[in-house]
Amino acid sequence: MNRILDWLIARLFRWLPRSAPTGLFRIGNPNADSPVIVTGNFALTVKRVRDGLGECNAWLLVAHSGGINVWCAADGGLFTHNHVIDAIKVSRLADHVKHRRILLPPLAASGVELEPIHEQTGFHPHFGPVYARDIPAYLEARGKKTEAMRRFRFDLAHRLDMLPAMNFPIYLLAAVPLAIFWPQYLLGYSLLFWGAALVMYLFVEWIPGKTGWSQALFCAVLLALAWAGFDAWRSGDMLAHGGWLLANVGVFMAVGFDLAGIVSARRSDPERLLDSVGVKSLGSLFSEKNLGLITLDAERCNGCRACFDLCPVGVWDDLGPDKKARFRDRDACFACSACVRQCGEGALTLT
Amino acid sequence: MSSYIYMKILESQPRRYDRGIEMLSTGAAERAKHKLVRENVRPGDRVLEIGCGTGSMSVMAALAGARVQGFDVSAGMLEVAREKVADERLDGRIELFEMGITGMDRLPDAHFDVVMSTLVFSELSPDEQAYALAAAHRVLRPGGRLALADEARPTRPLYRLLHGCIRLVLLAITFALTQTTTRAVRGLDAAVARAGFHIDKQERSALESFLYLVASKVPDEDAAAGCDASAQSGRAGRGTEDKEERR
Repeated sequence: MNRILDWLIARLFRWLPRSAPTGLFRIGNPNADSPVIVTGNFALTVKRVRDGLGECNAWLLVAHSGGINVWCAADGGLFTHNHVIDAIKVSRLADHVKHRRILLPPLAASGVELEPIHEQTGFHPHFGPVYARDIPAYLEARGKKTEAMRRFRFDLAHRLDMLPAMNFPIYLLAAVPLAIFWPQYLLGYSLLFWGAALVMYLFVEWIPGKTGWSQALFCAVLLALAWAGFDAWRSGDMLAHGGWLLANVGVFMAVGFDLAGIVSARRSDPERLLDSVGVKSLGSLFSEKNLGLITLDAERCNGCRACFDLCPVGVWDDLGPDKKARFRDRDACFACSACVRQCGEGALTLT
Repeated sequence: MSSYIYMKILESQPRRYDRGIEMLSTGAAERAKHKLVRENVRPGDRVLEIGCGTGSMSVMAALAGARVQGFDVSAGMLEVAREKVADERLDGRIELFEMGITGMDRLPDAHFDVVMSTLVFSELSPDEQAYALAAAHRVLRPGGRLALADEARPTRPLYRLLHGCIRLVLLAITFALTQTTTRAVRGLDAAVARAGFHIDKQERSALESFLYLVASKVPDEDAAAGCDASAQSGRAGRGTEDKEERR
């Protein structure tokens, strides 16, 4: 019972931080030569890393990330090299292993700098594969990454994973007042909401439209037309369910507002909208520095390939003939600043 | 999880931190900071703040005439702190560093009169607490004071239940608005005593949900006796309110 509840809470309230204990943990039977895997202390992350490591013998070093997933925590400044340094020193990692190599999650690249970790602990940090389940293969290949290991996979599994996590809090926004004041509408709203969410998340690749909101609007209009048409045929009154037609648009827009961000780490529509009407900040919520476009100063590039290695969405191509970084898909950039942070030459900026 | 919005919201979280803490502690955090500075910081003191965050307590200490060094792991928090320092024109009196608790390894021995911290130890694991307290003990001059305030679990069951209910609601609202959470610290008095401090004072707020603790580093000459005394006060622990030793 507790496990079911736990599982449900983990799914539905994923926006809320859930902390796992920090410190050094044994996976299997590690010895002084076993690899050291570093991660943040979001409970779900720790569980997935443990699952991903499978039969490996390794040390798992869990650093503070505020109980938030590594990617968001690093971008939000809650998971930095300082947290990793603290974890290494407090756990006396140096007494447990002979080697001086640690594996970091590459999605933490926007917050974790390598240099200070090496300076203050003597350990050489490396960014491993995006997914913990790829770590055994990565270790097997002696630290060689395949293209797939570098990229975040915005696939169906990811979308189904995100479906309840992202939409449950949004669902509650209307479900709670409905349940209190107009319980007769709760069932209809619930069906509409989860139906809309399921359609959007399952078929996002095939729904016409460039952004989450335009895709949502397409679906909403389609459903409204079908609904109104059905009512017209049955009762002669197109607007027999006028209120529901309106609710349908609202629900789709609510599900779609961050769809781009969730399913493909593109900018979300509300921000695009603000940007296009010239609003550069929204109180303390968004500030102008969040809105940049990735820019390369090729003069400064030393061809270290950090940007190519770490971009989770494949903005960068491997080095060109001039041994400099070059874009593959600049529009895919969603300003996570991982490459900017890791570029030792200051060749990259978000402007 | 890769919600773009969530990422960007967290990025700007430090700007809402103060408000979040205010809501979550219903003002207790602010009161505790004032009390902590008023009762422990004197003009000319060298003060270290562990986890200074947005710098409100460092600013209070500097305004009370101390020379303050503060550090925090979060660059975003420090950015807000630096703005506060500039607003109060305290640039010469406050130094801020971006580092975690193990960064204290680089601070000199027996240098500070006061080491203070609020809402930090509750975020640390027992190992981290022990590390930070050992470091605090080392950097304090003999007779120097450690002053901590943190969220705590009420000891009386009724208060615990009441506090739990209020907190659950507050937690949800506060996180939705400011992405700020805190947690309760446990066994801090024992950890402080284990680090070799003598606990001078331990108080709880009205609902018992906030802990206020002052301890001192026993001067070298009676170090042997001090170990003994601190162990005892650690056992006596909760509820004993010794008079704070004044210099």
